[in-house]
Amino acid sequence: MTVGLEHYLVVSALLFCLGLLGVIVRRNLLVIYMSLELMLNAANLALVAFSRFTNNLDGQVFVFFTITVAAAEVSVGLALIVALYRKRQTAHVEDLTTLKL
Amino acid sequence: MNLSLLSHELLVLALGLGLLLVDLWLPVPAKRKLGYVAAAGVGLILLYSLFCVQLPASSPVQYAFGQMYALDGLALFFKRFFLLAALIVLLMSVEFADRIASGIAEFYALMLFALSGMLFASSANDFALLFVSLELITVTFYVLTSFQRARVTSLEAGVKYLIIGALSTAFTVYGIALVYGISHTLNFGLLSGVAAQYGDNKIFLFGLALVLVGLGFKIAAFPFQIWAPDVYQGAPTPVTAFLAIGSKAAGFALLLRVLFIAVPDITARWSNLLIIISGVSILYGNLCAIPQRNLKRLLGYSSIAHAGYLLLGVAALSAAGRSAVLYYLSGYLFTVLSAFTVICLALRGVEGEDVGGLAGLHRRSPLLAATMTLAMASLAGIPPLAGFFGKFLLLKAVVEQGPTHPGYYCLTFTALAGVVISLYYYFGVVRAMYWPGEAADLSPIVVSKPIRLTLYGCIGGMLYLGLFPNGLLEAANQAVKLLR
Amino acid sequence: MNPDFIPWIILFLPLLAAVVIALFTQHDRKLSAGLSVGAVVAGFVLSLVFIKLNGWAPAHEVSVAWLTIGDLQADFGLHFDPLSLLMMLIVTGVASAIHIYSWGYMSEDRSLPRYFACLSLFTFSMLGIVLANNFLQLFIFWELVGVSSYLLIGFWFERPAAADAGKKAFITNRLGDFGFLLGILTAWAWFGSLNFAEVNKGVADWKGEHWLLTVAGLLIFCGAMGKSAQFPLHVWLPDAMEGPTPVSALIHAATMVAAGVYMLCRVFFIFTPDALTVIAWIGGFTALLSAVIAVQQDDIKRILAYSTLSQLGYMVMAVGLHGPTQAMFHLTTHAFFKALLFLGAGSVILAVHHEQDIWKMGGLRTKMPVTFWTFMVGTLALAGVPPFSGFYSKDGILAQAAQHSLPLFVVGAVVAALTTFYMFRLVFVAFLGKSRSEAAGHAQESPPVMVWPLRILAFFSVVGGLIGIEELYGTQLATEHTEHAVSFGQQLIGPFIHAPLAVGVGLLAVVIGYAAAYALYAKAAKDPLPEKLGALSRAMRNRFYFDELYQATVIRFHDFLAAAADWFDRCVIAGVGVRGTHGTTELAGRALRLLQTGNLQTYAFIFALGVALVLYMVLS
Repeated sequence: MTVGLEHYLVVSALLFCLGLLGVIVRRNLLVIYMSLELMLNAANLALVAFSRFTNNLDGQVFVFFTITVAAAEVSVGLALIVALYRKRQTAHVEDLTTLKL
Repeated sequence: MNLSLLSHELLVLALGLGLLLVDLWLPVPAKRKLGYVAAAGVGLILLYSLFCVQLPASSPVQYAFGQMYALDGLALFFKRFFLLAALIVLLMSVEFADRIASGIAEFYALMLFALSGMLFASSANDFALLFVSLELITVTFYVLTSFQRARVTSLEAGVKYLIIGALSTAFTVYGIALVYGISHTLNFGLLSGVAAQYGDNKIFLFGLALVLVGLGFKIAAFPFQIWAPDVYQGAPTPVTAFLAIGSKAAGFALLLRVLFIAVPDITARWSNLLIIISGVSILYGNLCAIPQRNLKRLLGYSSIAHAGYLLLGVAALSAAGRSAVLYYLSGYLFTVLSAFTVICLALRGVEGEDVGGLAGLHRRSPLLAATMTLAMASLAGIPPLAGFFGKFLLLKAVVEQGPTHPGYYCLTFTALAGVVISLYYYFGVVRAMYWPGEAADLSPIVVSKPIRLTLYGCIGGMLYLGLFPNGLLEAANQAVKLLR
Repeated sequence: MNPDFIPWIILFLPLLAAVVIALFTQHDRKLSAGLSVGAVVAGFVLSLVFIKLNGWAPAHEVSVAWLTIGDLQADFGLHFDPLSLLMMLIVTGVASAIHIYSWGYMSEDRSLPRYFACLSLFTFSMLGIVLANNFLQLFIFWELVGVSSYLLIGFWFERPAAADAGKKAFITNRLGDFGFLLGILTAWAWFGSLNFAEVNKGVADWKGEHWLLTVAGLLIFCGAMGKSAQFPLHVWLPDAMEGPTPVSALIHAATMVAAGVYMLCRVFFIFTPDALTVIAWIGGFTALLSAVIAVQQDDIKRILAYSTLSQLGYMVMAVGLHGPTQAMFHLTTHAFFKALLFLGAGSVILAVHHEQDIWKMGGLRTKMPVTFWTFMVGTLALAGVPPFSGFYSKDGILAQAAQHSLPLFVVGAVVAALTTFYMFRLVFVAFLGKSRSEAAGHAQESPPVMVWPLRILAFFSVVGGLIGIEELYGTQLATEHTEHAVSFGQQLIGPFIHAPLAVGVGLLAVVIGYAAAYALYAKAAKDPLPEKLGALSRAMRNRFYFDELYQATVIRFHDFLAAAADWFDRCVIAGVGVRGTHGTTELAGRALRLLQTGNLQTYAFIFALGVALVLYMVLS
């Protein structure tokens, strides 16, 4: 059996849905954040697969951008979560409800 | 490649980096004044843009980075818009500086970096630049939102913005991947040539819809509005102001480019979607704002409603509608920034930014009270202010499309109903100011000279755009000429 | 030299005064008052000059292109014809009298500059309505009148009643304006222009469905219903008495409420016969209802307020009976004598130390002779006694009614009788007899700055019917009496000749009303009617419970929605407190807000649902 574009896309879609599920059901901010990274990487996988199977390099270049941006996002995000943890001693989303209604 | 095309962005970045450098040598008390330097720099860049940058009539669009970056009328209009917004927000930040524990210079610099992201966004002609500029804005705002690390609400707002923002980024990137996979291109120009043939390709439409999700998040339109009230409330006031005008306008700049440059043929079939999003945003924002006591949160809901009003012009799918969007944004700039400036000054010591904190404002500072009254009246759309004329243009554009689709009439009615509902809470704010009530604090508010000038400018802008709309309208019409 | 530039000055002088006062002279009381009074008096003089130079006719316009959007060209223009010129004269004239009077009345008030700034803004807005040559401009000034009335009615905002009254006036007016705006948009959609002349042409060439035009006309009438306080939007006007008395006079006489009737006459061409029938009946009903209510009010200003409502009903009825000329004629004479009555009432109120209950006055005739006699002139004019001005204008309306609709004629006659009755009740109780309170015993005549406007207005209330006002309107508006009286003598007896029935019935009504008032009140120490009428009197005192009715229906609607929401989602109702007078929208707002739980997971979930929704709409 040869591995075709469809297989990559299915895996990518699965990863994306898993990530989304994680964001919705997990309570810990760090895990939620990892799930978000999973979603981004699912998109990267789809981009690379498309790029490879259509012989068009734009997609792979775009993936570099995504990875870079994601790195920036992670550094800011982790710093934020740590700052919050130091202030509140918790990283659970239920405790983040002073702003509401 | 002609680097002079990127002059706005480069100058702003240089200004930001310069600020960070100077910060190293400056004594702490002087750092606050760096905001004036930043504002002056932005002002100079704005002047440079107004008087030195012109598009040659022979080639109305100029490209850089292999057509990734386009400098056209629309881009220039938005660049000037963002520069003006940043100028006012920076002046506001100087007033706010005493409430930021440390790193005020970074605060200014981050604002400039966010500004450069907006400048890039206004020129995006490629999904790669769209994504990068979008993220440049968003990631900077994560930091800015949570800049008051001593306040839990600021941190909480930052984290909420971070998670929902990253979620929307994930959807956007996935959408871009799908669009790219089907059409083999990321460039808007190339895409517009081929998009028509993918009109029935479900995967292509799927991807495009996900890109719209990301932009919908930026402009805080229903159903992606959920973050806005929390973040508006928690963020430092100047950041909220910048979020309300800059980030939203950047979203609209990109939305216009994607919908009307990249895929105009497909957009033409999406009138239903746009009508529903616009109508529900208006109703949701206005209804939720009614029981609101926190002023910043109230403006958060109001900003959702205004995303809806602005989408009226997009939904109209006509040149008149698009120029109305630009016009309304310009009026909104003066209105919203003057409102936030007043909040920044008047609610200095008030816990929870409660509307009641405005009590007796007309005695503490008549200028602030008058500005706030005008801003609220303009938001509510009362003539002869900018908000009235902007709404008039938007509704007119929608009514004109009425014969093609009955949904437009429903949308007009919804928008008018929204305006009526909004009167209630906007006037609630005005009443809170003039109602004597139990004004705890009647000490006069000192309004510094730069802020005084800014407020005069904003009032002038609101009145000018409401009374003499022709000049700007002509500019807006020119700017949207290249959109289809 | 072309005199067309003069009206621009007249229009913008009050605005200039308002701006200057608001920005620069807040602290100088004398200068502020002087600026404001100067601006409007100069406006009055300039109006006379302009009419002298220009003459009443021919009708023409001057305009500057204000903005062009697509195919819509909106001008900022002024329209001159007898209708607008005479209105301009009346507005500036009556406003001058009221400005001068205010100087005396408000001289003690702390916020005098603010008062004059608002008053000037009000005058500016009203002049804008009068001179407008297109719907857009009309609407903008229309709203400005709304805003400035909000400021003036709520002028003493420290008093909750005043603040509430201002809000009530504003919101009730907005309700009518909503219909008005829809009407304007409809007119624009069909006729492609907002200019009166062009819309007129469009109506004349109208080939579409007849009922569509009726609907458009009724939508526009909604605006007049709000501003001119017609049933069921009449509730704001009596409450507007919370403002300073000169403001009541201004609102009631020549400006705000007159705007509705003026607008109806200005765009008379747009109303179809069906629409006119509806207008006539609403006017007639308002006239009757408020006249009945006025009979049992004790507050001197409220009696006059309901009287204004009733007279406005008359005017609207006249418009509905194809008689815009008569409506405008009555509007003009009414402007004189109602301003007079209100200023007289203000003089009385000031004299008895802000007491407004007529049962605590009495015996003022000898203590305030000028006020009494001028008030008497106003009363006679309002009652319609010949040869006072009210007689001629009211007779015109009755004649019009006799010609078109018998039931409305009967309504008109009954209202005339009631009017005489409640006005003489007021005069008997407040001015004649013995002093009923200590304050009334020590009352003194008001200062000259207040008394002179009374004299001038009294003069016009006497002669207003005989100086050719009706003929002037008649040259422009549709009129059904072609014969014009020429000599003064003919004018004096004109009505007796061409509408003897109307005159006869009208005079009979006056006699009946006077006789009843004399019998009941000439020597009464307290009001005898409540005992005789029982529940009816209570209902009248409580204004037929309209305020309560609106309150009750709004709450009923609330409960219904609450039940629906219960079925929809239990958690919606849990967070909803159905609280009193807040609108149904607040309910929806409170429910929707519950989405905003503050929990990130809920947010992410809602976000994902939103994505699903968008995908569904795009892909289906």
